[in-house]
Amino acid sequence: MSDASLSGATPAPKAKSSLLTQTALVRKRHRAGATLRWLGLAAISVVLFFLAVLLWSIVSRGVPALFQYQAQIELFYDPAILNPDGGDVDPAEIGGINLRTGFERGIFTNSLRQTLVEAGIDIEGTVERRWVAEAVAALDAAGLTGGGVVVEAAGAPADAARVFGQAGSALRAAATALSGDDADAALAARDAAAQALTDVGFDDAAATVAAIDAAGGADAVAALAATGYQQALLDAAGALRQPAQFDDAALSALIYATNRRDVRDRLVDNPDLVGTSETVGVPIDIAVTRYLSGELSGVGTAQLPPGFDIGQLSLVDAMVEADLVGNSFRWHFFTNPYSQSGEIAGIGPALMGSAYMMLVVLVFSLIFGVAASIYLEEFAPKNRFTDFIEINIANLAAVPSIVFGILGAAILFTLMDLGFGNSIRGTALLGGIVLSLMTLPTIVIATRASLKAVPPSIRDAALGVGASKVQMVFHHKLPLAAPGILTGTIIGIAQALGETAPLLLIGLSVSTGAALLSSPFSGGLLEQAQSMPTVVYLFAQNQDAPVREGLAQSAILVMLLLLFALNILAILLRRKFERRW
Amino acid sequence: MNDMRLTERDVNTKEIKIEARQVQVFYGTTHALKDVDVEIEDKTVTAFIGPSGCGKSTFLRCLNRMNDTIDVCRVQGDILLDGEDIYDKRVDPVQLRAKVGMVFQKPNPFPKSIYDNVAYGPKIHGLARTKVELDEVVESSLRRAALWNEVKDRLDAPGTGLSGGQQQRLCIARAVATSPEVLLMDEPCSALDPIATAQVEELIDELRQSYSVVIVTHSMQQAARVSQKTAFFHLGNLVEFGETSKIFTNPEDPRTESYITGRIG
Repeated sequence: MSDASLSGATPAPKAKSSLLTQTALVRKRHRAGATLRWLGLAAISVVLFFLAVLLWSIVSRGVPALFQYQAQIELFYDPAILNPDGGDVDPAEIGGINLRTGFERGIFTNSLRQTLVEAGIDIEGTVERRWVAEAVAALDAAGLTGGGVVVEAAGAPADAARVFGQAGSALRAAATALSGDDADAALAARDAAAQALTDVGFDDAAATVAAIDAAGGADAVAALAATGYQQALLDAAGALRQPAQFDDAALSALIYATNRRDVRDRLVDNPDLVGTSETVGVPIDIAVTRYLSGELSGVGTAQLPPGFDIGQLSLVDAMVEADLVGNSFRWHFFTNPYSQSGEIAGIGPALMGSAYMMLVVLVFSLIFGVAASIYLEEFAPKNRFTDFIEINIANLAAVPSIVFGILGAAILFTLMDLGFGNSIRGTALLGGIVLSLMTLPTIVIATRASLKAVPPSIRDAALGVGASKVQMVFHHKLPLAAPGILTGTIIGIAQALGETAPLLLIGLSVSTGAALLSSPFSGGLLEQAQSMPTVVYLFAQNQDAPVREGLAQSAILVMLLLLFALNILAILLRRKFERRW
Repeated sequence: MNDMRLTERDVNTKEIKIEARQVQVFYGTTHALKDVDVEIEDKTVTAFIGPSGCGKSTFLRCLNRMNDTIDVCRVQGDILLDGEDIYDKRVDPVQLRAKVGMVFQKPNPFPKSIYDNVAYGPKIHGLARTKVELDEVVESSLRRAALWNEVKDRLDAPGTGLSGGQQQRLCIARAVATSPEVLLMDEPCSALDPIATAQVEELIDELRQSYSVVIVTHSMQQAARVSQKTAFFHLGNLVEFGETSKIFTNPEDPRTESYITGRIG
């Protein structure tokens, strides 16, 4: 400054503050802005993270569940089983055969057995070898080497089981005697145990047992237990008893052989099939599927599929080796009805039911919603009564969906009292009407908003050339509001598609009812229906873990895809019809 | 143009198209227009001038009952079109608006094709029975609005894609297409640039051959250029009504003089 005044030129006006440094206030404002930005980023990251977790948990379980292991078996329609009395098989008789007699189970079991034999698999031998290996492994682990020789020498596994069982019992008796007060008895029992081991052929073990101090009391008991001989012998005996337990039921448990209705229907349709055979893919039991997909190792009790043992798994391994088991896409998931059995469960009627309900919702809520909106927006006088209606429509949008379910149930019971019987219960029509009530406010609000958004100049222009109010609305405002109405409608329908609670109350979740649907594509508006969300609910409640954790996710995946498709449709329609003015 | 206007002014034997007597307009409790008496002649351009909020647009909208769409608006007094009271209970405003067309301040073509914009009025009023007739109406209306040569090759193009001046002429064509007898224009040039304004003004002058034109304008120059009769509104009152030349050169009321000379408004 002083230079400037010295130079005599006009002094530069003294700046109150420099532009080159930030004032405290500006710094504070920038800090606030940066904080807000980071908070926003953090919020979005959290949301994205949870979205990713959600999608991953659904996709990682749902996609594999869409594939199913199938056994290719030669299905032989055995006349001997179809008519146990011998002689010809009458088609009418087949139709009358009780499904629970297990005749088809017999067909399936025999066919599976035949297929395995043809593939060179020795069924009983495979099972036996697996169990013998298990017994020998148990013995080896306790230091009882040479178990295999003993089993071979004994002949049948059951005989070997008896030998090992006796030795184990002798050891158990010794342990009891050693803990007792009678020294003589303890000595005798110890020697007897050692002798039993020698008899079986485990000389080293016998020496070990004989070396235990019979007067040792508690120490002797501990020393005997530490050898682990008793447990190993009893385990081996248990394992060796298993092959004798293996029967047809254990064999047929591997595949899903209970689609009896199919077999019977096929036979009724075409009686010539009796006595012939055809290659069909039969689903592997859903529990075994987990073993095949590597979820369960089959080693140890906890790693076994529930209800299966290692003998059966060894057969599965043999079938895989013989290339009899393949993993294929579960097409029937999209056509079959819901079933308790995960092997054949599907979402066919649910898809159709949901589609029908969406149709009903579209028709009802679009017509009534748009009509109500046009009346309220364009024609209704503005008074307290219309204000009251408007407030209540807005309130209706916030009513919990279960309340609409209660309303639907009330309608249902009234109709049943009026003599419609049970026929309306759980139908797509009833479900659709209930969902329409739920969707209506959404559509009314969206429609009114888009009608309001049409510029008033269009209204003036139309009235100015002499259009009547109705012409103004239908020729000009409605077409311009259509994209908004469509978007609102699709969002409302997507919401309705995912709604479970009201449908549970009006009987759309009853699985037995939907089982009546012979073909998923024949269900009309007035037939028992299922819906996607209720089927997801049923899947998620299934007793089998693979259904709970696989098929439920698959169904959710299908539903999500449908919702995405609807939303994309909404966006495309909006893009296409959007006008600027 | 000026010459022509002078000769027109001499002719004073035109019939009265619209006659307003003691018109009062209320918006709720606000008395927006008081005791307006105006006689609008056929084949004449009548301009309404006045400061903002003086009621000139309100009065214009009374002439084709566009005020009906405003709930709180009440109109009293008589407005006679060819001797018939347009506020009579038996009058259908839809029919009235076919006779009394309107052009708005902001060009407001429908978001449809140029053709559909013009054809809409004739269609709903049943003025054309066949496609050929409709084509003729559209062409003649666009010609009247001096737009035909600019758009004849793209009748299917959206009307909203035209320039501002073209849009306003399209709106005029749309109004003309219903064969009205009176054309109301509410500040038709206020959203336009000077060139477009000149085109529209020229057009108004031509339209005068066939219609009675009423124009509301903020621009006194415009009123002077296009109109033969001028009405000056102030604070809801019709202050002065008479020959345009007289209003602008020798006003009777001091308020008119103040407005014209720029002291008020």
